[in-house]
Amino acid sequence: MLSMEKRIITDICIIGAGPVGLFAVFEAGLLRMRCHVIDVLPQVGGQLSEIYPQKPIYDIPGFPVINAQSLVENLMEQIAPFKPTFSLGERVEELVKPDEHTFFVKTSEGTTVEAKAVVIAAGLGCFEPRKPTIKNLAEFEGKGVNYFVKNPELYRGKEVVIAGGGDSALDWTIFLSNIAAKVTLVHRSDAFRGAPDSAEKVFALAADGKIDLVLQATIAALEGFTHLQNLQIDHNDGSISHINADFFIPLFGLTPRLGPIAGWGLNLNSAAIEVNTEDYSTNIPGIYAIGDINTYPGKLKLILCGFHEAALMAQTAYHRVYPDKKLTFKYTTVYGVNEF
Amino acid sequence: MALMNFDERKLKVKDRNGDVMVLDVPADAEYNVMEVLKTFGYKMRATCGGMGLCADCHCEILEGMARLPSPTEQEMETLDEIPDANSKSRLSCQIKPGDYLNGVYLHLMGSDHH
Repeated sequence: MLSMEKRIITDICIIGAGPVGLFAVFEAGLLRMRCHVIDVLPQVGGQLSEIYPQKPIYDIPGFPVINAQSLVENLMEQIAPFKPTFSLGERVEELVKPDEHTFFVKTSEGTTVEAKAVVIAAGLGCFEPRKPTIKNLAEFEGKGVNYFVKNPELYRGKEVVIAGGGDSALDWTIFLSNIAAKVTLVHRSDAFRGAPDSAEKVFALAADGKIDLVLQATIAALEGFTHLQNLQIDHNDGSISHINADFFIPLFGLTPRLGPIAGWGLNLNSAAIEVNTEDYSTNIPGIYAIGDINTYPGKLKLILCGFHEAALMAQTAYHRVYPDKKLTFKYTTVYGVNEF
Repeated sequence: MALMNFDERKLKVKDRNGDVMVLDVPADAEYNVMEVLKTFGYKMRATCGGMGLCADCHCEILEGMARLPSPTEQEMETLDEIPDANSKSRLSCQIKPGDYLNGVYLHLMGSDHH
């Protein structure tokens, strides 16, 4: 798909829309700094929404227990007065610092965010697809192998093989069964435990001959010249079969990786960014790192620690956004929350 | 004074580089096998912290699978979703330490742990 060039000018560019990134919007907002938040996931909430939305959290001060997704919703309500803007479903690719006071953060979808400070609140990195171990998989990436369904029309009239046993494998099998010439779902076991409703639909489609369901099997090899043409399926009973395929879509969920941030010249220690605990600044002036992505002596990967780090970060970032102004510390109990 | 426990819990572990060690799992280890492995210095990212959701602690049980308590629905659901699971797969965060660990041979899977 063609992406549109998009330019956003803000005070602080926050990378990561997890709880700590969201709370950073609040702390920045109290000091009259506007924020733009980028996340590779299509929704806010980071790990909380992606991995454990329904799990209870017991160590958020003031909440004896709160469901992860509810915490994200509360944070969105809390930051709403400061009108943050978001680029969701976009991966941060490049950081440019043309002068001492400016950053350009560029994303995979052609967005450029111009900011006076950058806050990396990227948790364990950006979520990327888990890839199956097939020796020539990388060779066919973009030539028939896709890890996301970005444009379903791409598959119209084509032969598509989906692999996986989770929600997204089931949901895309159902969806593409109406678009593709043929959809085959290949799954290692003989049951789909995660989503009984979707599984029922998939079994019904298979019974009606609308899709092919290949259970107890894995994709073992890809074949083709300039584009994918065939897949080899290894069945758990030891037999092997081959299937025509224009597209192979492995859908095995997402897992976080540090990604392009690793190449920005930040001091790293075991894939975490080293920071000064005075203000959670990194070795590059104007770039801060808060939450699970940073490391310092005594670091605990707790949401509550990330909240604290966001508050301290904002006090220093203020001087980059407003170099000529003096900052006095204020309480919300006295001055309230003054929306933009 | 706590009673001495002389039961042996020798857990054999092959790491991601293929190196094999035999660990004496303390009788009072209160957490799960993923946490036990961390205390022995194995790199374990554990994105979900031990809820059986992220599969960072995915391992193969090379010996002793039958002795381990059965996986929960949650564990099976997560294993169902990852690409490199097989019939020997377990999530080490979902295995509680117990005498049944004695003689179990576990192989750490996955990569990219720090």
